[in-house]
Amino acid sequence: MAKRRLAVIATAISVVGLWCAVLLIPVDWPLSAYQSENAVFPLGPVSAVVQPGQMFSATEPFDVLAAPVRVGGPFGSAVTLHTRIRLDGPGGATVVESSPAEAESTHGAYQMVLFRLPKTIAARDGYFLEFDIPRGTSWPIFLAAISGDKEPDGRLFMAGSPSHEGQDLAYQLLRRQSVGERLPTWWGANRGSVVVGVGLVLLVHLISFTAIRSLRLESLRRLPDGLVLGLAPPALLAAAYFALFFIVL
Amino acid sequence: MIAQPYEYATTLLMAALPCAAGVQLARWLLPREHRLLVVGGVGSGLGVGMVTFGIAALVQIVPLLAAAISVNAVSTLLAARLIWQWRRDPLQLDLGRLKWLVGALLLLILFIVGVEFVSSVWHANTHENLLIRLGLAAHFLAGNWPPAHPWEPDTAFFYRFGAPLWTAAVGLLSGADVFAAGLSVTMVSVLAFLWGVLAAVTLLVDKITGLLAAFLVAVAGPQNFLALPNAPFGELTASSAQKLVDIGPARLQEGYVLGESFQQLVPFSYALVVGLAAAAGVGALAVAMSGAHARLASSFLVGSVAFAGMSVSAEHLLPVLATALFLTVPVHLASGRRSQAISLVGLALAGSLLALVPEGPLAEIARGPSRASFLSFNTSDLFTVPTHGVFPEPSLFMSTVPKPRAGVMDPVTWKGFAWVLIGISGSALVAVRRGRAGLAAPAAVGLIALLIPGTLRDELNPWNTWRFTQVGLLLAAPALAILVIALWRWRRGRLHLAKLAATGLVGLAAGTWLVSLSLLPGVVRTLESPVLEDELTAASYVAQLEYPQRALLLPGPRTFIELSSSMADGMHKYAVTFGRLQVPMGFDNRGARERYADDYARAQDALSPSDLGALGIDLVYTAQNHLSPEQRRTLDQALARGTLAPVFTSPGGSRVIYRVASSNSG
Repeated sequence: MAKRRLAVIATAISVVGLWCAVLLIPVDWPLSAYQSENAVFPLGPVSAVVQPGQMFSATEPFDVLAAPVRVGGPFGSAVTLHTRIRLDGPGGATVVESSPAEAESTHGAYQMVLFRLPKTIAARDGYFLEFDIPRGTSWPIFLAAISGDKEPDGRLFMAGSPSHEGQDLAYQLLRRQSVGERLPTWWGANRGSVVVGVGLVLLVHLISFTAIRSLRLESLRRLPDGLVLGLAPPALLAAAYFALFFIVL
Repeated sequence: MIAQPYEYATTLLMAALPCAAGVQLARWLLPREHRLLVVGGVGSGLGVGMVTFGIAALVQIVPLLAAAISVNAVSTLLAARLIWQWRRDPLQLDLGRLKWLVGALLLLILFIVGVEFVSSVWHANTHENLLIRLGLAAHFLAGNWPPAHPWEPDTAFFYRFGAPLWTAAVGLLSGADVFAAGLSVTMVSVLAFLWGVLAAVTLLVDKITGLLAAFLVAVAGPQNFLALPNAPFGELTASSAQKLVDIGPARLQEGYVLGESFQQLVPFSYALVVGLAAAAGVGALAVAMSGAHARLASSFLVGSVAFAGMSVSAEHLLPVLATALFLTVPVHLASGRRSQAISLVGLALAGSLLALVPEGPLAEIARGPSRASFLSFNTSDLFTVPTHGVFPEPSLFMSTVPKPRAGVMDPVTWKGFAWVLIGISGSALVAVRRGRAGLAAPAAVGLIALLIPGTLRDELNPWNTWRFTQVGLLLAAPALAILVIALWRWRRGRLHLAKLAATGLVGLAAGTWLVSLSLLPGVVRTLESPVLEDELTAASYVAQLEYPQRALLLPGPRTFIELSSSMADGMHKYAVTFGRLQVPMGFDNRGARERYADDYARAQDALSPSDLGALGIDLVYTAQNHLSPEQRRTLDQALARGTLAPVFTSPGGSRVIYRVASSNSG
């Protein structure tokens, strides 16, 4: 009986702990995405002189920027980059400058580089994203661009001049928040998905619970109650997996 | 337009009634059987088959309302009898301590089915349910019989109409719209189908195998999860989870070899699920008849009717099930069970004949074989299956060179569906080792279904034969369950390799479902129409006009590909389904496209009185938020010369409907 009580308490602690972690630990949520049908092509080489930029609108506040970067040097060569956000185009007032981020030459086509901003930037039209490439880098640097006018209001710039209308820089805006902080945003924008997500998570928990119970009662009745201690955390981790994924909508 | 909460309950009750009636019939057909898992599974599937046949047959001689009332009156009597008998002699659930787990899994599967169906209507997760099946049901509800084709209104549409007809009957009797009725019909059919599989495999093997078979049917799919590391998506995101989102659950669940998870079949065409439910009922009954469980003569009669109902909803199930029943003959004759052999062959023959009673493609082919000239038989493609190579989409397995067919044993088939091949061959091996031919039944029927596309060719829609492959994949799941349970129980030595293999096989079959399950909320993320309220208000307006009204949509589709798209917020689908409009645009290759396509395109371009009059157009239904400058100019000119007069503007102004001046109707 004592073992069973211990198992129940451990399970309860696991559930509460996992959900506290899910609800409270902040993660980076993508606010924009490119679909596979957009054609991607390398943009560059870019440099301190041929500086790439992009006009864009932010529909939500953001505090992280991500961009695919390709360093054309031997495997492992690295370059430190900055981004800067200005108002109203090249030469506009600087809103914020990101902390430096290192781009490395990898085996993949691009490396997604995260640029963390020191403050949250408000939603607004007419931002200009600018990349600072250090002078005298040893390796050619490429960013990625996308054809198909993914952002009709946006515009790709090279060396301070606007590029083709149908092309945009590949980049992603992200927001670092916990699930608890993010829930009101989802509820406001996407209620159906939240309802389905919550329903799914509850059902997965129910299945985890009934599966453990059935296993213990039906097939493994000769095994000690402490087995639940071993089975509950993986089952609940599986449930948390669904919880974590459903919110990446 | 979106159903009231109580309508979900009333439609669910109305859709479940035939299943309850079927269970009562099954009690009578299987007098010594008291297991709810078996009697319920046999009966609910039979109920679905009988109701689709009953309505489809009766509607030829009486109005739909009378047909629906007649069939449901009989169902109600049988359901009342079931309840009365249950009090004296209840059926036994016999699930032991597994009942909560089974209940929770069933709840999850039905939840997924509901979400998928909703997504197919409001969120453009495939287009066939809303565009064709619910569209036809809505027109039936409006009194469209003989069924004029909504997209070719001068021709009849007798094409897999059993499920829409049942949906319309449910809607008619419960006073609900086709969305709620379609959802209920789908949920009940899925339950009946899975229950039927469970019953059949329980009778063939045992309860645990039956439960695993039903579970695998619901979750098994292509092994696309293995290809995720190679998938050419997700390069441009910082979130690894978003890579999955980018691929999308629908893409994950469809194979390169044409065939998809059961979960994706629901939003694609719920008519096939209705047919499968009936097929599962007949299949389970056939297994019961093969043993000493059933009253043969009565089972023959009831089974024939359900067999015919299955064919009305999904005619391509007929050759698969009929061949399967014929295959049992030598087995029964060899065992000296002549009456079983005669009953099962009789069931297939009588069912096929009854399938000719309702109007439909089968009746049409029987009356004039020349009308089936688009079908041809040859053996040049034997042992091949159709692939996604016919569509301009890359495979998740990038090493594949696109080609329209793949050999059954080709590497790409193994990559996508190794569990199918192992399940079929493995369960056949188990049957041989144990000397029980019945254990090979799912494998044999699955193999037949997989091989049909290698001999039957549809010249009009070359990839249409994929539906046989799909049935083959679904039948491979019970075969896999038989193999998996046999491996799990295999004791030899101290190593548990057999258990490991069994677990691995289940993982191969269910891996993609598990991965894509977390993406389910994404399928209801974005409404297809950002102006849904305007869309439905406009549809409600035209739905209350005298039926039928012919409309021209501006902008609107002109080709079959555009029909199956979200063009102009998907306005054409909502207008035709919820607005009950006929649009004389021409449909697919099988229909009378050439009769309408050019005239409709001309009328769309010029909006001239003569072009509109030639097609008998009453209304011009416009999406103001999608009109090109040229279309707006043409519209203004038509208004200026008095060809059109505005009759309706939606609250947000994005939908405006005009009446053609020369038209007298409405």
